[in-house]
Amino acid sequence: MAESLQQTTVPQLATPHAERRTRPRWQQNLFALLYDPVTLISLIVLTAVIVMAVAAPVLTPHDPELQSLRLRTRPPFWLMNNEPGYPLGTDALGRDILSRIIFGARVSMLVGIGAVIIQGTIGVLVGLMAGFFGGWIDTVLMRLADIQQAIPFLILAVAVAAVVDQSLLNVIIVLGVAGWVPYGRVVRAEVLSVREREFVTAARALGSSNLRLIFTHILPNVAASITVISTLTISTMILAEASLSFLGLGVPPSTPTWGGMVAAGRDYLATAAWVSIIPGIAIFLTVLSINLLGDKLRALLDPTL
Amino acid sequence: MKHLRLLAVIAFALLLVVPTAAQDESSITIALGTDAASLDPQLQNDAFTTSILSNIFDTLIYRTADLALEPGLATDWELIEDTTWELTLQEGITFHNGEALTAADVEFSLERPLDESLGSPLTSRFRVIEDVEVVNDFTVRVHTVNPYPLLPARLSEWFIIPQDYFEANDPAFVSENPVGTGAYRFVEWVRDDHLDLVANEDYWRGAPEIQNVRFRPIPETSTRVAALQAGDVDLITNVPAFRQAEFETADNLEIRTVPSTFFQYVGLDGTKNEALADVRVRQALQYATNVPEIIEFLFDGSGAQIAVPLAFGTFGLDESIEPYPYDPDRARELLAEAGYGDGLTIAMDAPTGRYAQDREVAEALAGQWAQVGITVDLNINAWADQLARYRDGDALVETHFMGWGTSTFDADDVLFSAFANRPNKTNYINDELTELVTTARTSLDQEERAELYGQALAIIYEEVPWISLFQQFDIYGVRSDLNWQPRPDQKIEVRTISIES
Repeated sequence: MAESLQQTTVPQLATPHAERRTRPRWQQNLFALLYDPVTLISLIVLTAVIVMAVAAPVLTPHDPELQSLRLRTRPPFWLMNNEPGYPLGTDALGRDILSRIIFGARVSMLVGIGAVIIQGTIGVLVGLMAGFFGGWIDTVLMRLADIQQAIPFLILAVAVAAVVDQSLLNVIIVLGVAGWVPYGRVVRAEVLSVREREFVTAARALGSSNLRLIFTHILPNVAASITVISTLTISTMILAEASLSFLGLGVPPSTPTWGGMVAAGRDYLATAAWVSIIPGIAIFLTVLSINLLGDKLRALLDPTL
Repeated sequence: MKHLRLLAVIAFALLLVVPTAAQDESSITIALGTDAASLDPQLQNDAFTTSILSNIFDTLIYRTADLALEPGLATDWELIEDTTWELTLQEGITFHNGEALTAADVEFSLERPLDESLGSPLTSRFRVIEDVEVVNDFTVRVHTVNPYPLLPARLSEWFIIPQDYFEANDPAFVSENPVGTGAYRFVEWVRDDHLDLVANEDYWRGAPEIQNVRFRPIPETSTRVAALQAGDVDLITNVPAFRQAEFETADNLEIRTVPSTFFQYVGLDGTKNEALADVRVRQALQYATNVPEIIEFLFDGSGAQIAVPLAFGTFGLDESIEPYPYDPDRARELLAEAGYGDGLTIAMDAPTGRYAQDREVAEALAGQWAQVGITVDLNINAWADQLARYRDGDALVETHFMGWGTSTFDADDVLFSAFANRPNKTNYINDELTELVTTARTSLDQEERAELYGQALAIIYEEVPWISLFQQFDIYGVRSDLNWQPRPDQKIEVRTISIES
């Protein structure tokens, strides 16, 4: 992998600009990222979502829970009959949509990142074990993965979410536990090739323990793949949380979530479409940005993946 | 290429035309918010199930759309002693399976719910019956435990079932294959999907005009409206007030509205949350409830606030009682006095799909109560779940949002079942109230009864065992060419529908 990347930089060595030649590769990559408008916009959107999630209480103009039936289904600012102070309009109970979007970002980010951490931990451990030890451990773990994958992810999540109590933590755990298989498979495949490399054989010859081999020699070499899958699955998890909330199975109904907001606006699609559409756009932009960034990251880190 | 495009246009046009052309003129589809709970008329007591069953079964006494009582299966009824009613049955009526209707069927129908092992939700109402005596094939005497002036009103709710059929078959089979004397015969029921009926050509009131009827449960309001607009269904219940405007501009659809005999309330159970045992907390909840705001903004004004848990027009209701005003400051004061100045959390069970905008009303209540420091932990239940919890009673959390349809139009209905009878759904106990309501129920002197109900209502107003909300308007969406007027009791009698040609 390292060799192939060096080869691609060879033509650049021939360019007349001396600074470019001397810049470290990560800087070149960063510039390449920022010069790409799609990536730049994605980065901006994602940063905005993260800022909203972190600083929600400071940013919101209104209490996201505060109802005012008098102000119900007021349109956003670009439509007639809007209410000053409610730039994105109000929902069916007169709550400020902007404030609810900002607080909803919190749930989406927490679920996205939390679920990916759990999935990643389980999946990477399983993949490392299966790939490194092989034999019956590999067989058992991979058949487990097959079983898990035979049940569609979202259906499994819905079934479990319907049984356990509604809470944010439960949603994160449900999504985390149900989605480890892709990590396990990719990591196992990488480990299979990495463990045959000379440096692993050398380390083993020097008397390294299995644990040391796995965590200090093999894991760093599969880290790039893990980063790429993690980025791509964050968006899947955000969508899954939105789907669960839409079905009323996610976090408790009083917590503002994007999926829940879309669901609550269903009855108003004909009369006040923005109640559903605005949170829908929030989900769409966030998921799209993460996916575009994930693709970019994949191209940069590992063109073969 | 040109031909292809033309073909595509024609195919598309056909798609638009064919479904309407294929529609059978004498068939209609009715979309309700919920499915039937059971097709055994004595194992259910919810309005939409009763609505469906009123097409399959008849009652001894019939309540007309303007709520008067007239002969049904019985041609005549008479109070012959303080506790004895004599009824004469129509001759020559047969059930759908050919069985003839006789006094024995009436005896069976009125005594069956008294058997505790049946598990009927109606048992407590039937307990007024001491015994049913068959005088001859077409005469029965109903002996009541005490004088019970409301028996004819009750008989207008209780469906008559065929004894032989019910005794010969397994209860589970009977509850899915109803046989009655009604205008429609049962065809098929696929739970949560559809229930089909076909006209009973031998119906004693005359064969109905509509041949085939399909009831479909569509809990989602917007889906129900869309199904009507797309022509998939011909009549829908509970059109939300904010969508009425669309019907004004549609040329083949109409809104038909009727003031409902249903009213909405929140039951408070002090045995499940000690805060609710404190009358100050209950009053605070009523003060914190802004009913006029809900009516004006959620229902566009179609509804009326109630002061006590009784529908307008009910005997025994003093309509001059003023509802509690919306006074959040007073609510906070009362909560502080009761020791809940720092806030209080209560759970609430609320249904979705059953009442007009039910989910939104529950959320609006939670929002209003939040303003005085009461956090509501809201469980939005599908109707079947809500009903199961309600039936069980113990399964309900400390507060529940529900509607009550007063079928006898007498204060006795709510006051006895909900507050005087024990156990009741909110485990409310007040000896003075029980005494008043029990005395009123057995008195034949209407003036005395009105007086007693007045006193009982004064206690309820002060004690707030339930939060009184509003009486709604039932808003139906229908195809304009259906000749049909809605009834205030939410029953849809298909035999009264005809299609304009």
